[in-house]
Amino acid sequence: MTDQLLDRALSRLSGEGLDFGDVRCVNRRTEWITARGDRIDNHQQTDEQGYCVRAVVQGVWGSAAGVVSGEMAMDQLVERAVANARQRVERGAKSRALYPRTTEGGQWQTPVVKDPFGVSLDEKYGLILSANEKMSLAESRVIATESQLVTQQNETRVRATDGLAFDQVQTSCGGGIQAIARGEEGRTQSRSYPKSHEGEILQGGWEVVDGLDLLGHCDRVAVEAGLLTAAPPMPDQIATIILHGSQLSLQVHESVGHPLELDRVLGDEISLAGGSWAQRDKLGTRYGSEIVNLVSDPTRSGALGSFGWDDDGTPSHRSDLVRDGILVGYLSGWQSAGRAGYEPAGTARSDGWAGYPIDRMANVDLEPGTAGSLADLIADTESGFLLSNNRSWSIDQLRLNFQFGCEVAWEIKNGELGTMYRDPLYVGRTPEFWGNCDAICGPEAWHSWGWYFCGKGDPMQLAHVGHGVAPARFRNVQVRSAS
Amino acid sequence: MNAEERLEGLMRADRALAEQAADGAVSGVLEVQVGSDETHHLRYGGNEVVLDHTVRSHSVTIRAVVDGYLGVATTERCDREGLTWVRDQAVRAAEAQARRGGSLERPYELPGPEAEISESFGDPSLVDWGQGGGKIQTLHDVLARADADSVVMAGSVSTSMRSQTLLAANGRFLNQRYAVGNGQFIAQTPTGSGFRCGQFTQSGQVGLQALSEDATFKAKAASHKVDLDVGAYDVVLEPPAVAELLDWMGYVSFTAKSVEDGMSCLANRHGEQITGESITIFDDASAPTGLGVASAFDGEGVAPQRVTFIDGGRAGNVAHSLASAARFGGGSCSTGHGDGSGGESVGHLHMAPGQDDLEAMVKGLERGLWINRFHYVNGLLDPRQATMTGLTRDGCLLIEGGEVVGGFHTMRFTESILEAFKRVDGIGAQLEAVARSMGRGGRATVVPALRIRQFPFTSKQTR
Repeated sequence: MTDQLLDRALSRLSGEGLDFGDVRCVNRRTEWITARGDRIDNHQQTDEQGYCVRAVVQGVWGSAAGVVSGEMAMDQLVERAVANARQRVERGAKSRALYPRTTEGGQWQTPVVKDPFGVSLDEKYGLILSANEKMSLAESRVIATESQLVTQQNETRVRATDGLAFDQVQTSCGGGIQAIARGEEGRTQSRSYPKSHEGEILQGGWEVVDGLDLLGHCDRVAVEAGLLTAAPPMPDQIATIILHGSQLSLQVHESVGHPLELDRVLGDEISLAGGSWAQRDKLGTRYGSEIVNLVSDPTRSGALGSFGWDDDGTPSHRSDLVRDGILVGYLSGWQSAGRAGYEPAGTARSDGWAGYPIDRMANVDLEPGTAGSLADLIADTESGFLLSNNRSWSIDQLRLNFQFGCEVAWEIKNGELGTMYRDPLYVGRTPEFWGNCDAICGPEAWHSWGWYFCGKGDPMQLAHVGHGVAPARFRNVQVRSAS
Repeated sequence: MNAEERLEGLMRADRALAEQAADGAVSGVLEVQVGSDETHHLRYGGNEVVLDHTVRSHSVTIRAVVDGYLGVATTERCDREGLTWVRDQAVRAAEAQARRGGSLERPYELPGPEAEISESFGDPSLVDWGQGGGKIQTLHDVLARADADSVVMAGSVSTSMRSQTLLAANGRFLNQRYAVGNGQFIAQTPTGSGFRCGQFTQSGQVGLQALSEDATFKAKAASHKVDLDVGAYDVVLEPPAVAELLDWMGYVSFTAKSVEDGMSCLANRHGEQITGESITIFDDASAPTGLGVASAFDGEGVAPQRVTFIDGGRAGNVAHSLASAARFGGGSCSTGHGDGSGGESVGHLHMAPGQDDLEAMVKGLERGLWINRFHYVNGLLDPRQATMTGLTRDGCLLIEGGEVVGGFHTMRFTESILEAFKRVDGIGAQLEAVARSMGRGGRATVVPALRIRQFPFTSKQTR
């Protein structure tokens, strides 16, 4: 049926005398299981299927998306997309040229060793309920435990009037654990593994979950949650900090990825998320220190944001964003890059069938440095703090002034970890912060982290993105306590 | 066919689909829910439309219960194969939980049979206006005016209609339909910006031109920038800023789950004075003020009750689903805030109004800040104290001697909102519905403006 409907849409679009038209079909199956304490709190299974049609009339775009049950419904969807474009033409909308592009299509899929939908519910439930039980038993101050597993398969098929056709399947899988403890003074604190919020989700099959070894980290997570309830608050001072990958990945996301989305730079995103400080006149100027190299790389196997083509149809490829600390490129799609006169980075993405492709991160990675392992970097640090796992995040609409909260900080003194602190915050300004990066761990400490809920667009769309990082050190950072 | 007829048609189609999904249902199926939605969305930036997008969706959700354990599955494939899949998945999940056991103080129970519900909220002619060219023509006029005013406008306007149907195994049929419009404008000058948003449930309420003019006024007023020091300022928060704070409190503190975790600012504090006496915050899905979109039942088919979370500054009750009420025991009942998958959601937050006039509150500032909206608020810093951080954005003004001096560069606050609400000395008489998300869905937070003494700003942007 899908082939028939795609053909139908393409045939209708081709007969409308359009500059361009395309149809995208997305089938997305998601399973989200959450265990709280000794019960399955939430087991959601969602099976989405729909189509998005885009039409360009005299250089003006219109689109419509819907759940389509047959050819008549598909015809209506095409008509709506074309009508939306024509309506704008009639009211004098600005015409924009279509930019040249390659129409080389094909097929792509995430390598999967073990089908995650083939794993029994008994095994899935057993894993996360066992994790909760282990955390509860490991520390008497633990009052609540939560573990989750996430699996998704996203099949996308695109057909365009210029001949582009591709099919791709992205499969992702992962999970995480969290313990909440209450201390004698009634203070509650939480610790998580591998990462807070949604846990760690990567592209791949059930082997991703096996690789996380959730059960192997339960005791530590529970004990650290308990210890945090009695820990002193983070001191208020200017300090050297080392960010663990679980936090540094979000730092990259918020202060590098978002400001380098070209639609933000061009002003298209003002209505929701805002603009960007990194306007085009900043190209060729300093974004960070000389050791900071950041790339967009949707080709990286296993990273959460990988694909064969973006949702505009641009083949995935690696491109530089910051090289030797200098801003050299943006994240962009076919249309935004064309408007700005750049080669597209190929990162226009949409949320399922209903979303319209907008400029996005796919995988934005900080390249590894030469500082060795995390232990090596700590040993090389006379005085400072190691901060791990995000708790809160906030950044201004130009992506300059940020404040992040973490679950935990440890003092570093003479190259060794010491006192644990609770409720750490750090505050900074994007170019100064990255300019004060003086050490990045090496390839042995580099890991691609998955962030599942990147919100952007209006209407709001969510995207899954990857951020490969190794722990890094930053000088002269304001730190304080959230409590 | 006009929108009213289409909405009626959606209800009939949804009921037929629900009956088809329930037909021959295997043991354990509790109910079938069908949701249909049609939204037309215009987004603009740089004084031109950058997105003209229509979304039409349908979904079928089945909730199954086996030995008191709940399984849920949703599909958008409304053919026989899709409906079979969704039934099987829901039952399979419930059965797997029943096999394992685990705590279940009281088995998950069906709500008792009640009268059939069929409710319609909002004016469907809004959707006709939106789809028929009225919306884009009005917007075209607004953007042309912005051009003439040398202002760059960004924002979005959407119109939606939605039908939600629930058909229970005991024959109970519930349907609610609504139509709603949302609009927002961000006006920009080379050095300033302003913001205004509105939600409409009646076609007579649509006032895009007025919203854009207000945003333009704020942008021009904010164009002259003053360099402010970090520190505490008396502030007047307009409704969009207040709504941001309340939305976060709803998320981190007002549900049974957050109390169970011990993270809620209400946990173990029932009856304790946690804010100033002038603060009352509640959830009421009946839209008692005529603002926002009402709701006749929640994701579990339960009629929502009004729940008061903070009553005259004292910690009050929390929102329950059937599942959380069962866990809490002790006579707890669902308050009609079930999200359908075992959790709770608070979607109709209100703050009780006061008696103050917004203009008078601003005039009353000797030296303070008139905050139009906040940006990127995060309430996870210390949920027990409702400690949040966030930034000023679009049309925030310095006031001296009751008069506007100009705008200021972005400032960041970090503060316990419980403490801030102890320093409220003015509450607006006028309420405003602030949409919780633009586009699809009609949920809004209904709040007045507030004046707060000594609101602390902890860092600032210098450009």
